Amino acid sequence: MAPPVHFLRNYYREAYELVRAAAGTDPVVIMPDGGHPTVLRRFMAQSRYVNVWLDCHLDRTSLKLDVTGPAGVRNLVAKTRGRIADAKRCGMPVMVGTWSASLPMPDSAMTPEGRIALERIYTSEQLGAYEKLPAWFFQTWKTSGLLVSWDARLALATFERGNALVTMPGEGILSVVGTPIGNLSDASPRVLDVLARADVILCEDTRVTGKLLSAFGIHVSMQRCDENVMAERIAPTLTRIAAGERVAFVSDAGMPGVSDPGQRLVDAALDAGLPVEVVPGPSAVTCAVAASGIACEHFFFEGFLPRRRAAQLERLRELTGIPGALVVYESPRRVSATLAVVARNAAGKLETREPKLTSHLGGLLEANARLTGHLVIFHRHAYEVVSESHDHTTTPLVGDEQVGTIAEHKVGNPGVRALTQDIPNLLGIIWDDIYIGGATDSKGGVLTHGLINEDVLLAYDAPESPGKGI
Amino acid sequence: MRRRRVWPRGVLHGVNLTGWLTLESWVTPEIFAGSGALDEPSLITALGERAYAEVVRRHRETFVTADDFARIAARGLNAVRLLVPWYVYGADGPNPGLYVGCIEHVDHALEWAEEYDIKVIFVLGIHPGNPSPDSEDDAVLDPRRLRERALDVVSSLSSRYASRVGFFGIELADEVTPQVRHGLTLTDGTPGPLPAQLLP
Repeated sequence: MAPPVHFLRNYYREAYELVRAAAGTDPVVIMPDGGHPTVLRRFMAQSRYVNVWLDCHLDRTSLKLDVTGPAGVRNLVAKTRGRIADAKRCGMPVMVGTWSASLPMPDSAMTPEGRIALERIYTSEQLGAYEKLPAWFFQTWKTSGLLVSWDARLALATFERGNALVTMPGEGILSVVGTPIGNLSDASPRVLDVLARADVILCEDTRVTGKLLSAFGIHVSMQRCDENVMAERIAPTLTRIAAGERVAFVSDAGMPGVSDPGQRLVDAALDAGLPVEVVPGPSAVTCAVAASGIACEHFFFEGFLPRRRAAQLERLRELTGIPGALVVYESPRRVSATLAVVARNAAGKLETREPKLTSHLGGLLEANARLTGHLVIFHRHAYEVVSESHDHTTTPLVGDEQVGTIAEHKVGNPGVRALTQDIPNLLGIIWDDIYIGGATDSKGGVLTHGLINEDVLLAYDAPESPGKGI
Repeated sequence: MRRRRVWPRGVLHGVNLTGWLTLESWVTPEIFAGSGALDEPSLITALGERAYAEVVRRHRETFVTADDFARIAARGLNAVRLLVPWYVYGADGPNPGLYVGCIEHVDHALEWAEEYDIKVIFVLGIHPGNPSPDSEDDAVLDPRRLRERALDVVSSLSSRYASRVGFFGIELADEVTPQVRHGLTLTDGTPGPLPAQLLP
């Protein structure tokens, strides 16, 4: 049976006097608001009562709200703010005695990952709602079953260890956020949380990032920040971060700052002494290396090769000293001719390999048509050498027989530098006419795989002996 | 362990130590498993006085230790909210029935808290008007007895810890369900339903 309010008031009044008599005015005396703060009205708000607080319990809600998306979660937290505002009308400091990360929705309404992502948003929104209060207490420190939404060791971990992620009022941060390169499920809860909490998202193309955000129901203002406007964006962005705003920085897909001008922004923020965090996400380089199947204990990421053929060859020549695999991004338009040559030399074998790789990478890029293209893998066992003539038609310089010759040649001479020195002699041509465009294994099988994304990846598997390979 | 203050200064950011001095089936389901009980009074009935006393003694000694306070501090938190049951003094306090006192654990908690610069808010484990583990207790049916019992404990705790730096405050009840007036009628307030995950 609920006690009448006058009973509670008498009890609180007597208890207050006992605490003051026993311990003076230092200890705070706290009254639970019972879910109905207005019932107490301004009881104990008078000046003769010192250090009296009201406690709201917010770990359970009877509200019937659809919280299956970030907008619903914000709506719920807005109601929570209203509840705190009601409590404050009693004229006393208000604390939150219990709160949790648990959203009032059945498990069947959402996938476990989706729930975790939403509950992190819920947690960070609540932290924002409570940051001006004199105290809050998460429900609870530990549970033996490690209940995800109720155990502080799990539920608060991101926010305690996430540096200035959400909790420091007025402390801005630049968050460099990796985004999915095709499969939206690769967006981690932390990625979504950081994007949802950002004051602004800097992106290469607002249309591309806009699709990502709308897929997750995130509504945050975006600003274009590609290489053309990067220079003029840096100063205003630093000002915003210094003013306490959270700025998220994304590329169209993958990790920003890898083969794009994003590093300039990060560099400027670090120079200015502003906090920078990286929220890791998928990266095409590591995916492709992992999928290539070649030995990549060491690899060198070149990024994009020069466009002009001569400069490209020059750069490739410089890279021949790399003691490890060489990873190169390249536009499919630039290498399509070379790939065609490779394909011709492969005598149809290339086509048969394509589906394998496509299925191998599964849905890697299924949602981003912009990133369809080719993957080329160079293998150390043997090399196929082609030349490109002045009229841009390419002709294989090495037939099956010569490949065999070169493969044999390599047995006692595994360095590619040696190979490239020998080939001109072997074929009577000069180096600039040679373009290493594909690969065969020692049995003549083509190791060139096609069509994983728009960027062509050239991964060259170097010989074991450092200094001798490409 | 090095302490990091991640949260802003001057305010308390902490955790409840729910399910330590009082048993909660959602915090430590293993204690309740097999007994058919979901709350502490039913557990006493199911296990019997001696077995219950042994279970609760073992649980209190192991569930929260100085190490937990070290970890709480290491995470940048600076406060705990500790539910202290009204029978905290055991036989030395108001009629505890079959419950087991735990004042020595409260002492330990405050010592550990002070060691790691953590503030403690004691919450008196009474739930006026709220269906709770105490619902079979006559005090809920008799508000005057409830009040006397609570006032005794509030007074004793306040004087026991009066000069301690870790003693930040005392909350006079945990869950309260007051009568609420709607126009001319009075109804019991709603404490809010339990979250779906916590329902048996």
